[in-house]
Amino acid sequence: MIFSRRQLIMGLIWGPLLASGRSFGDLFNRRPLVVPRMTIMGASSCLGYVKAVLPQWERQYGPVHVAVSGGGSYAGLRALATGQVDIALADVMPPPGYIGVPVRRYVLGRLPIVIVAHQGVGVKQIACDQTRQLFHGTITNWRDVGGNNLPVVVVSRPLSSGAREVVQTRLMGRSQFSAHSIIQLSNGAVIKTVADTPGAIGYVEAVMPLWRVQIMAVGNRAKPPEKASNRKLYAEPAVYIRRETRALVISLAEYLANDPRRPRFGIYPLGSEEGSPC
Amino acid sequence: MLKIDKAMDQVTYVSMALFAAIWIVLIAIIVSGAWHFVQTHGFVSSVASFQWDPLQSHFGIGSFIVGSITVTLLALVLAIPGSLALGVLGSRILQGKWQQQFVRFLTVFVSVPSVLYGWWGLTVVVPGIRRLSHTSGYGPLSASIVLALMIVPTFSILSLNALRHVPESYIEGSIGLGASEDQTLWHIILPAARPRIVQAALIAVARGLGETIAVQMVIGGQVRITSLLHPASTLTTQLLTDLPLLPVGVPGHHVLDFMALWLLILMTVIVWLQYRLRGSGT
Repeated sequence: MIFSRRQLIMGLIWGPLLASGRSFGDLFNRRPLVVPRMTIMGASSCLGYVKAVLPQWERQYGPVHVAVSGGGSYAGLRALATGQVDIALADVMPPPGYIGVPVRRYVLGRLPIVIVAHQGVGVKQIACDQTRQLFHGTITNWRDVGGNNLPVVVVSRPLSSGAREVVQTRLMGRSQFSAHSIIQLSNGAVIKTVADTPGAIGYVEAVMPLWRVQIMAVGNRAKPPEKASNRKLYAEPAVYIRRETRALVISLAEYLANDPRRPRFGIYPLGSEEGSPC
Repeated sequence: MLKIDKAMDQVTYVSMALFAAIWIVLIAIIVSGAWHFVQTHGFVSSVASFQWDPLQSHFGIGSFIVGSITVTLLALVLAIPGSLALGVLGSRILQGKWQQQFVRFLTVFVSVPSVLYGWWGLTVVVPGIRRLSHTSGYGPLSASIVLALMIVPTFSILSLNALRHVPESYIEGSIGLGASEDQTLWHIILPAARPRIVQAALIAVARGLGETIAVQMVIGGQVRITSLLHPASTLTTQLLTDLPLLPVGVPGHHVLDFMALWLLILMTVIVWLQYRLRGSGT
């Protein structure tokens, strides 16, 4: 045997390390960087859109490589502030002083937020106050709002969610979500939980097909507005870049903010209706 | 060849040093962050408080510590009978090829990714608990059942090995004195294997305590634990939930270091117990 077992093991450990070190060295020392690189990070609700339209921009601007990752709005904004990324995607308004560096903001449009319930709740329309009380846990049975005899199960999102921030500020006001609400980390998980749990009510950003759930009409409307852009509960996802940045980054931010394919991914141009849904 | 051996010796030492250095740096980062947090917010006030709202600077992690301990201990309680039964089956009842196949079967379950256990919990356990308790089904009880199922294969294999280590002479002596198979099992085999079984349990507990995804999928994610049947969180699931809210550099990020330190402390206690209990083994 040419190598001992120990030599083989050490080779397996160090080989890849040395190989990656060499290619890393090549990248920075031997070969000049000919392909400009950029990084985008932030709200997962916008990732589908960004990933879909990015290849066209990359082709248009020649050899450029853009890496896209999620992590949430706050993480994206923080990474922009520290210079780790070139572009942040956020569907929350950052608290004052959160970013800490001068930035430019490009609004992508409106991302409707929809109140959804389990298909067996027995009602399709609820008043704003009722919605608040359902989310707060004051109303504990659907019978109390004219529905079936089913206990109410609230499904919500974590504090980092843009959808939660919108529902909290524009619908709930000072009321808090029920202390027994189920917290799910994604829109998909909310839809699955609401669809599978009798009596469940939740809210989602309408970036995906809403199947197996009841879309609720909230307020005085008999049914949810036909035009998604007219819904009054919406997040305003935006692209953030540093004020002093490369021309290429500005170009990409403007491209993302103006591409006409946004409605296909649930992001609609700013509509005419303003104000609170209630 | 000798020169190569010497060089490889040096590479081995360097590797060990590198490995140790990486771990020391990792732990130092967590301890330093946690220390920063404790200096700002206090130790007792954070651990004893159940109020969690990082955006309003309320960093009470008491609920998550209670959640972690509750879910893990309940999972252990649920896993003990089944794991011991499988251990006895594999070590004392099945023989030859059947025994080998049984061990392979358990090994397959050890290697199943935790997200699949979580998915099973979501599709079977949560609806089952919902039907029985008339609640949403999400909560520490569902998490404990999923976790119990996850740790049963590990616990069973280690118990099986523990039972195999009981000297044959003990068993033959017991049978020779007229004890039945069951009496021998209860009064000779299990007591003799007890220290190793306890070790097995602690290893299973360590796996359960650190589990995140499977638990996150069924526990409900509520920040205050109120009962076994209502949504709650553990240290690991809340770390996962609030990482996007408190990225590095944001005020309050260090509470995540403090939570990670608590996980390390709990793990260290388990390892310490394991060493303490090993001394009296057969």
